[in-house]
Amino acid sequence: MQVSSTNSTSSIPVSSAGIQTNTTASRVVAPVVEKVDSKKLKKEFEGLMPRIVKIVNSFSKFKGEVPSIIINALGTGLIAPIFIKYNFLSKTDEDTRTYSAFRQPISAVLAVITQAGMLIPINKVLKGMHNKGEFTDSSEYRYNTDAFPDVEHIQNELKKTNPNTPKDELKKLAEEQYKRNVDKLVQHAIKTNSIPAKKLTGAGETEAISPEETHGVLKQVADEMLNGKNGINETLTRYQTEKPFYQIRRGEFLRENHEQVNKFLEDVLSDIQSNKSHNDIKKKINERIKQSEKAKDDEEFIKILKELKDQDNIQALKDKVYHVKAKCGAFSKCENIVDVTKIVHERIEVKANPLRKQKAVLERISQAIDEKKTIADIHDIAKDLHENKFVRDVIEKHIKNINSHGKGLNQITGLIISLAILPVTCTLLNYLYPRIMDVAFPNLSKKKQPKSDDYFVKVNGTIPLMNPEDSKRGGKL
Amino acid sequence: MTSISPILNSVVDYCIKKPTNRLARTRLLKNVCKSYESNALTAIAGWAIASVILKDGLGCYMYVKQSLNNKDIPDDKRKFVAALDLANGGLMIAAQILMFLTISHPKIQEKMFNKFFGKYFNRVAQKSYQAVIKHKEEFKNLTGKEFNVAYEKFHKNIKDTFGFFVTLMASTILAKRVIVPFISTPLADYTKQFLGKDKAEHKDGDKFETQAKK
Repeated sequence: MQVSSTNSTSSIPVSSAGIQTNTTASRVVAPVVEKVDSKKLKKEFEGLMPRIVKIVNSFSKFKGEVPSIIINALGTGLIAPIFIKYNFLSKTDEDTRTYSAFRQPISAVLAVITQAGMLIPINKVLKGMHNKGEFTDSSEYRYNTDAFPDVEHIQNELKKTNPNTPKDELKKLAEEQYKRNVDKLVQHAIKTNSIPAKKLTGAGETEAISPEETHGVLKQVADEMLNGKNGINETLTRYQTEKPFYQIRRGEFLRENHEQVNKFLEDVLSDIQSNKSHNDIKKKINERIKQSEKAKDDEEFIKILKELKDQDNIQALKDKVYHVKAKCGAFSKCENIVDVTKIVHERIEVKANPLRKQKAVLERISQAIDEKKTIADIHDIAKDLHENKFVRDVIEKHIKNINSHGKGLNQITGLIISLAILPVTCTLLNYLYPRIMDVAFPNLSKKKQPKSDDYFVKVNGTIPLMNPEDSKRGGKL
Repeated sequence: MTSISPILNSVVDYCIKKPTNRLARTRLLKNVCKSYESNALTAIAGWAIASVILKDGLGCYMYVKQSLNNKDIPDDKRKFVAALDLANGGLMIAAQILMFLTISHPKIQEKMFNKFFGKYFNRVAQKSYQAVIKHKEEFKNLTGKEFNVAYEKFHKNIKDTFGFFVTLMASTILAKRVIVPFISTPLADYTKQFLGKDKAEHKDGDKFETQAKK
């Protein structure tokens, strides 16, 4: 592990992997400043969404471990016994089924007690280990997040010093601090040509991950941007295949039917201008869809109608109408499909060209990574990207990798803890279940004191003799 | 009075922190971490299924064994309790594997989400929300990128919540607490036969002996 400092360029080491050191410490990255109030924007989204999405969104507060345990316990304790006791398919007598059914709520209570008493505290200790950097990290196994505390951890830390600050306010502060931390890490990476492995000190000194690891993360990010899902290569392929196909089909339809489409669009526009409600206009479009489907109109026309219907508000509908009208206007001037194809290709080129430039920059970045250039050099090349946040993406990818290692570790530790708790839960259930049943349902557990003349016959008040019925069956004392 | 804190700290250190640190450097963990890092869904599902089989399998074995040997449970019910544990345990493993591969699988959840909520989050809807928001004075300068980041965050939150509750309702409540007990109760009539001869039916003398001792 190498040691680096954000304050001194002279101490920057030459890596064993050959990554060149940076001599231009003055190159700094401008922090990403959030201009938008994300909370307000979120509220705007909530307001625009349909009722069903609002309902799902309101449930988002109840996600998490504790609600999961509670719902699970309620299901075990209240629902499962019903399907055991009142099971009409079972040939076993109802008393036995009832007796067995009560095992479920007792087991649910025990599960909550053991999970709340052991699993949650142990998970907390493990989370603390990640946050405080208590793992002995190696390049293959990296779990410590002390250099990259997440929003939740920052929020918990802030809560300790600001106990009276409202939760929302704390979350906002934590999010801001998280962004500042990432900014610092990005600047640190550019200046020192390394990604920190431990928390930055006040002087900006810290241990760094190995140059091989740094190289690995840089390569991962460049590869994902180029060849990943929705990466530049995939988008460019789409521009060469699907996009022209669909757009030429739409263009040719609009060329041939621009009058019919325009007439309908004018109708919708006049409805909008006469202040008809969005729902009424939607109904009208819906009726037209049904008519067109019955009349087996061109599929493309039905598609346009559906796109208009799917607009969620009047403003969006208006924008869409103008958009289609403009397309109608452009394609109506075409004489044949060759002209349509030309227009479509020209339009696609307008979008594809900047992407090709981005691709060329990313290929230069990839080459620079292969040549073991410094992070600062790569950052310089990335300035030609649409948004220069390549180094930020690298830091965020590294954080994501560490978090995913944490998930993997939690999967196995969770299993081990559950296996360790199992004998405790089992023994407790085994001990408590019959005893609770004896006390609560003596009839079911048949622990009622039998009457002497029913079961035992006392001779001289001391020796119990066998019940005559058992004696007949050959039982012995 | 001695403080409990140093003792507790040592317990936490020796029983949790040190073993976890050792575990964290094993080859097993390396493989698990690799699957999580590359988001290999099949491998992740495989680890989860292996965990369920181990955990519930061992749990089932322990519950059945302890129930069968628990003299405090009445003789005539002991075997059914154990048989129900056996049927329940087996079906619970099967149900959870089935759920992992179906309703809880990220790909299936994605499809379900798109089926129920897709039209509210497709490109057309996104453009329409953007159009409305951009017309508001306070979001006049909102760039497309900023809108997309905030929108994707909102979209992800709804998707995660949907996934969480679908899994919880379908797997935890419907499969594990309704379907499994419903099938396992009649099945216990049959699993009873695997657990050996019934003392209550065949060894009346022994049964009475037990009762008498009490």
